[in-house]
Amino acid sequence: MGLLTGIRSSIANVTDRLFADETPKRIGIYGPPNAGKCLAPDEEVVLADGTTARIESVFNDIVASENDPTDVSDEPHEEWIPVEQSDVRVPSLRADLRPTTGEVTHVFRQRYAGPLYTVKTETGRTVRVSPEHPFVTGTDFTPARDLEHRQSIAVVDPEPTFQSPQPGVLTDGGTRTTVAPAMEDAAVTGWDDVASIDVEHYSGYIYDLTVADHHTFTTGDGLVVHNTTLANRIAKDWTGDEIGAESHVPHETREATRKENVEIKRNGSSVTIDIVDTPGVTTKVDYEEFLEFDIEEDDAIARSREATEGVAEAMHWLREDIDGVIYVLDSAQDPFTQVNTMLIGIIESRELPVLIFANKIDLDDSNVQRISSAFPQHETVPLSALEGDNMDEVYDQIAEYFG
Amino acid sequence: MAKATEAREGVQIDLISGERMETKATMEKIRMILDGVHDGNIVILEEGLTPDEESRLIEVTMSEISPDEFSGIEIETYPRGAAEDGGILDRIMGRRDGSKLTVIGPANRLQTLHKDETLIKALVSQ
Repeated sequence: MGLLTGIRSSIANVTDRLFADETPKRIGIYGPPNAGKCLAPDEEVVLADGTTARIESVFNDIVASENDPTDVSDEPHEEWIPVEQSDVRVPSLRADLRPTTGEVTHVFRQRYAGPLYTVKTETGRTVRVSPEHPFVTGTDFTPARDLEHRQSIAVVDPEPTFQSPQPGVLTDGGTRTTVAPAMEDAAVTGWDDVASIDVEHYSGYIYDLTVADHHTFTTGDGLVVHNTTLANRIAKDWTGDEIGAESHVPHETREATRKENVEIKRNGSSVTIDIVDTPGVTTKVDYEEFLEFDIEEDDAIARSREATEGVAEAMHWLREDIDGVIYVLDSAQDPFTQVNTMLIGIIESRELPVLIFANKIDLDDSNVQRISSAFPQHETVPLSALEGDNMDEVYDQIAEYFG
Repeated sequence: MAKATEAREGVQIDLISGERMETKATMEKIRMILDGVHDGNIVILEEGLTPDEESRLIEVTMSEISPDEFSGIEIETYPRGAAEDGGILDRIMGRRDGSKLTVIGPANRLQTLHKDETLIKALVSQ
C-alpha cells in the first residue's frame, strides 16, 4: 500500500513539476490556526555584545552579509532567511529562567496590517508587538493580547548584565555557546509589571528572530520575549493552544486566510508557495462553547456563525483550490478522531500531496509513533512549533513535497 | 417526527441500506441524512459515503447550524484502511475506498466514547 501510494505520489510530484507554471502552489494548512508573532521595525533588540540594534537593521544586516544575499528591497511577501554566514548572538533565557546567549538562526519579515500592542511596564519599559507575540511570564509564555494589567513579565537589565564580551564569556569559535561566569548563578534579572496596553492599527513590516535552543531574546528596554516558531512564520499558527491553553477560545480563527508568495529558502534554492490557513475543521459548532469564555451571547452567536462559514469555506478550498496539504496534528492527542479520518480520506481521494506534521513534541505525553501508525501511508514529520524543534526537517520536507 | 419519537420516549434509528443509497445523487443522500438528524434520529448507513460526499456533508451541515436549534452532527466511521485493506484495488480501479458502516446523529444526542482502528463506542442520549 505504501509502495503504491509512494509511486502515485512521486508521479504526481513529477507531473506537478513538469507542468508547473509561474503561479505558486497553494498549500492548505489544516489544523488549529493562530497568528504571527512579531515586533515593529523600530523596536530594538539587545545583542550579545551588549549593544542594541533596531530589529529592522538586524534583519537587513544579516540579509546583506549572507553569501547569497536575497534582494528584499521591495518584496511584499513573508520571508524566512536562514542565518548561515553571520554569527549573531543575543542574550536569551534558559528554561530555568537563567540568562545565557543564543544563536540567531533565522530572521523573518512579514508585511502586516492589523493591530499592534504597545506594552508598557511600571518602570517605563515599552515594546510594540503583534497581538500574538509571547512574553515570558513565570515559567510559561503569554501573548500580548492576553496580558493583564499588573501581570509580571520577565526583564533583564541590558546595561550591566550584557556588557561587551569579556575573555571566556561568550563563544568558542561559533560552535558552542557558553554562559558568562558572572551570569551562571543569576536567575532572570527581575520582573516588571504591566502598567498599560495600548492597541493601534498598523500597516507595514514586522520582524522577528529565531533563537536556537532557548527561543527568547531581549528588547532594547530589557523585556524578554519568546521568538516566533518557524512554523508560525509560514502558516499563521501551528502552536494552537499551547500558549495560554486555559484561556484559548475555540474557533478563534474563523475564516480561511491566504498568504501569498511565502518564500522558503533551502540549500541555495527557494520554494515559493501560497498558504491557505484554514480554521479547524469540525462537524459541530455550539455557540454556548463561547459563553464559557466570558463572551456575550450576541458575540458568541456571531462567532459561531463565522466559525461555521469558515469550516464550510475550508472544505470548499480543499475540494476546489488546494494543490497540497499540510495536515497538522497534536501529537499529544488521540489521532483517531472522526474529523482526522474524514479529512485524510478526502485529501487522499483528491490525490493531493500531503505531509502530516506531528506537532507539540515538546509535551510529555507526545506520541509521534501513534500518529505514524494511524496514517502509515503518509510521511509524518515530528516538530514542536512552539519550541522550534526539528524545523530543518520541516522545511526540507515542504521543499521536497511542494517545491 | 421528533415529537412523535420523544412521545414514545425513545430514539429513532434509521438504518439505510447501501442499495437504497446507491441510486441517489450526492445532495439527495446528504438531504436524507440531515433531514433524519434534524428530526433527532440516529442515521446508520450500511455503506457510508465517499470522501467527496463526506466533504459536502460537512459543508452543508455547517450551513444549517443554527443557535439553539441545530449545533451540527456527530459522525463515526472506522479509520480508512485500518479495518479493511481492500481499498487499494478500489483506488486503482477508480472506485471509492471501500464501504464502511457509518453512524450519524445530532451532535447533542450522539457522543463518541471510544474509537480506534476496529472499534467505535458511542453513547446515544434522548
